[in-house]
Amino acid sequence: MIKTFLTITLTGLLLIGCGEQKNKRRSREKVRSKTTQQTNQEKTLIDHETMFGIIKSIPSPLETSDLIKKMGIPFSERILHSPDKKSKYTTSDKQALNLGIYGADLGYTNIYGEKSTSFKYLKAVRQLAADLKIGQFFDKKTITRMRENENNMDSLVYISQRGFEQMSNYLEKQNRANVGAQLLIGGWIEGVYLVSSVYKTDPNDKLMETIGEQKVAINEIMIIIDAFRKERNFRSIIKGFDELKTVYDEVEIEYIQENTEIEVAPGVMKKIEGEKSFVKITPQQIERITQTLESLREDIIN
Amino acid sequence: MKTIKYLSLLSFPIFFLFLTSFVDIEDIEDCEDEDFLDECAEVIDGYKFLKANLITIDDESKIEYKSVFSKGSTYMLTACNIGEGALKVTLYDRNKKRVMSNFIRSKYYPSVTYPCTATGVYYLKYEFTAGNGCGVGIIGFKK
Repeated sequence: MIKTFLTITLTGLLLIGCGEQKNKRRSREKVRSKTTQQTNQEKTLIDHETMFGIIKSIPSPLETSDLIKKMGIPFSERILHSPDKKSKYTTSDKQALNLGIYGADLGYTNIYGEKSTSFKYLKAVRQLAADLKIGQFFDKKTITRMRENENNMDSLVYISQRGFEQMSNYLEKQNRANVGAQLLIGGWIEGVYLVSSVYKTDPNDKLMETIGEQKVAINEIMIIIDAFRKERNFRSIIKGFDELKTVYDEVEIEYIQENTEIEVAPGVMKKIEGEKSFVKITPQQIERITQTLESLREDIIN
Repeated sequence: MKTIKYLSLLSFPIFFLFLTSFVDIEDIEDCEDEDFLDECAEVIDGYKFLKANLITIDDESKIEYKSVFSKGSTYMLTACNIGEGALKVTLYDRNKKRVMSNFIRSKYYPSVTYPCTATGVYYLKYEFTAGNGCGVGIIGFKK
């Protein structure tokens, strides 16, 4: 009996020891992470978690590209940023912003199933990601996987979206908030730029509404912009976003209460007490937004 | 002799508790595995992948993420987890008013869809129906 007790107790203690070691390692990591975060927070004014929470909440440029395609608008390589310029960017700020832009363009080419063009953008994404030391999310394995799925648009979208999401998660763990923010800003600018470029040749109410409803996104992005106000390398971005915010403050989004019955799962109907939104935006406001976006984008890509 | 007998009996639950704590750490690692995510993403078939929210609940009872949803898009919400129970996801609108969840009339659905009629910031709250654990919440969309 004593023998059994001793064996069990000793094994238990051994496991306690191992468990504590693991827990200690985890808490050490937590402390280290907290210290780096604090250093970062001094610079960015908002906490790390809030910053990445906002970064993750902003709509993907993929949604606007999908809208453009669904409207029957043909693919246009002309409106995209040239992938040949990828080697031009030597500072990490330019690399991160342009990685965001190329990411949005990659999404656009994937949505249209433009395989050869899409691989040019994938190459640009790979290079800039490698320059920023986040190239592991678009490694050879990922590229092979993308090639294997080149005829399945949903799979291509999934693999590339996941690549960018993993990048963002990694940047969060590494406390590289500025790179995460620049990636988001570049991607958002390109997404809205694509819509406004299409609007110029095919103006319609839906595109007008899409540009106007970016007011919700810009209000969120401004929290990030404000956090970087003291940073010199964000100066031109801040100026551009301040101008955009001024115009968007004039744009109105009206909400009305609307109760509807929707199919929430196959064959399952549910009454929802929801809202319907309406955007009030003028062609003049669209023009001012387009001009500001174009100048912001020019500044980034040149 | 009696004390030794009691202590011997006590060592079993202690031993079990530590074994389960190891399973938890392994579970978290499994939830971060790409294969687990790929498998979960299969549910959103017909929708385009938008994002994956990693859920690890230990200290708190629920985790909240926010996301800007656009009018005209239909969003598919799915939640997968490792271990006992199910991962519940509840959607709230910009006023934090409950819109829907993947539990309809107490029945669990692996995925639910929400045709968005109002552009705004939405909140997604994740919680486990039994205890703590880890999982992933995937959002897909179609126009």
